[in-house]
Amino acid sequence: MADNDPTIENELRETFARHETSLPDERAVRAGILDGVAEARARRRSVWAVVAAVAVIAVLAAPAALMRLGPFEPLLAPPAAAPSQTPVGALNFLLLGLDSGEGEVRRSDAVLVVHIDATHRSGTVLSIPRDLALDVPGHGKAKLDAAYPFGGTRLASQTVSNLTGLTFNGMAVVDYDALVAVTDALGGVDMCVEQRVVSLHLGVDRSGQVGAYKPGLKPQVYEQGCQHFAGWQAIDYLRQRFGLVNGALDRDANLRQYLLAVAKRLADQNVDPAGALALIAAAGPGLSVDTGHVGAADLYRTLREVDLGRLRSVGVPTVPRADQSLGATEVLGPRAPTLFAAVRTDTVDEWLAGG
Amino acid sequence: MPQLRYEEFVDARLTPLLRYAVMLTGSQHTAQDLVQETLIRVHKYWKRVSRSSSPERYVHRMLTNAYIDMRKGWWARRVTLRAEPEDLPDPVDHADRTAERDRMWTLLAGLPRRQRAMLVLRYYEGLPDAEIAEVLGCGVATVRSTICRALASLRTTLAPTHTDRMAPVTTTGTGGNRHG
Repeated sequence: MADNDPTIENELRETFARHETSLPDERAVRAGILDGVAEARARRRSVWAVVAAVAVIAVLAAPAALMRLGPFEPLLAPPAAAPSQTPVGALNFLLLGLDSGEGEVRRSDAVLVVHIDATHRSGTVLSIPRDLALDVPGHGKAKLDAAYPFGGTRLASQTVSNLTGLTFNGMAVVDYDALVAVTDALGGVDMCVEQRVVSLHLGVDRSGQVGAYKPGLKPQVYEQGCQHFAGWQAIDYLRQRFGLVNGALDRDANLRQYLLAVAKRLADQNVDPAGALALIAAAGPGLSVDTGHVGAADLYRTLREVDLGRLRSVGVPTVPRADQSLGATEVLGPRAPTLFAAVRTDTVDEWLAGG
Repeated sequence: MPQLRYEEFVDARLTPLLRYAVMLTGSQHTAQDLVQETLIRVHKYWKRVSRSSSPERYVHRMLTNAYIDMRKGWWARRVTLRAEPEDLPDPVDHADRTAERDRMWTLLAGLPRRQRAMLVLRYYEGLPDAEIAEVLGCGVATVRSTICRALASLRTTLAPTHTDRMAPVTTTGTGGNRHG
């Protein structure tokens, strides 16, 4: 298509030139910038002011559409048909945890699928190994954790949808900083350590101060047993995989345990929808949530109906495989397809029993 | 080389950025918001921006992308968000009286934002297509075909319209590569 129509092009140039004189008042803009910068600084220091503000907004029971403030983003592709406004039937959510990345490339370190059964009384937390070799639409064979850097949340959710046969009703993406903030806002979580874990990332100096690990420092250690974790401890613990007997797979089990621990904490502290929204706000810019067409408050109310004692925790079975181009990968184990089918049909209990 | 200070950068670039933002948004009010929000973010990421090979271009790109993404981010706080097709054009800013008398300016407001941004970059900023491609993160061929499409729709809708309403400009897509 040739775009050499000089009349239109000249008219465009003249139009732009004509509007050069209508500028906003610079002084007002400068004042606005100063205010904004000061506000951003204050926001970083006082998370709880934001928490209170969001709680107030949430309590005003705005309709679903207005719930998209701040950390709410359209991460998933819009569905073909307009779904119902309240959560009905089985629900599926995709959770991505991002690593800190080198420069701009951030991979999805953690990939969790939360399935809520149609009864809304039970569900399954699935972890999918980041090293799983699979087809990433448009990119051929790749590791699961490359889907996000290749094509963002849409490609990641499409990839996992194709793998599992599940359609996602919502999605969240979170980085380490946001996880630490959420965990701290909850007052920490309780988890049981089965294997002693030595941190690669944090070390303790002689005065007991914890900081980034340097040779010569004592590494931070998580001993066996059930214990309370502050935000920084929980997230450091969840990052570790070297030294674990089954490496990344054991780490995935720790991730699932963390999610369940957060759910238990929310239940124990009787956190209501306003409080949940406040937690999301407290996470800061590193958390993005898409609750689809359901308002976040309505979704949270539905999730609260789930009996935590009946929430199953399963790692997708895989076997290691050395791949020529991708290196060390995992591939689906023989029982994986039946697991996905069981999730889709709410028959995971039977699958766990060996059926 | 001495470190570039944020205040000096704002002093030097505020006027050109405001002018560019008015061309992009068609509205003084929105331009003010856009430049303000962008420069606040620039302050937050100042270390990264000041160390780039050209902070001017970096910020120019930030502002352009902020304009294109206006629905998804901070802009959403000002309007109720509904599920909409991605290439819906901006509503005309009826507070901007000068627009009503200027046909082309009004039509520009009816274009999807990515198309408008490319027109501004080529016919106001006078950038070559390769640089436009760099600003928007797409290929040169995409720039050319998108501008082609934009000019075509401007051409076909230059028939007389009502002064306070414009003929809907239908497009089949923004033509650009979508990032995740």
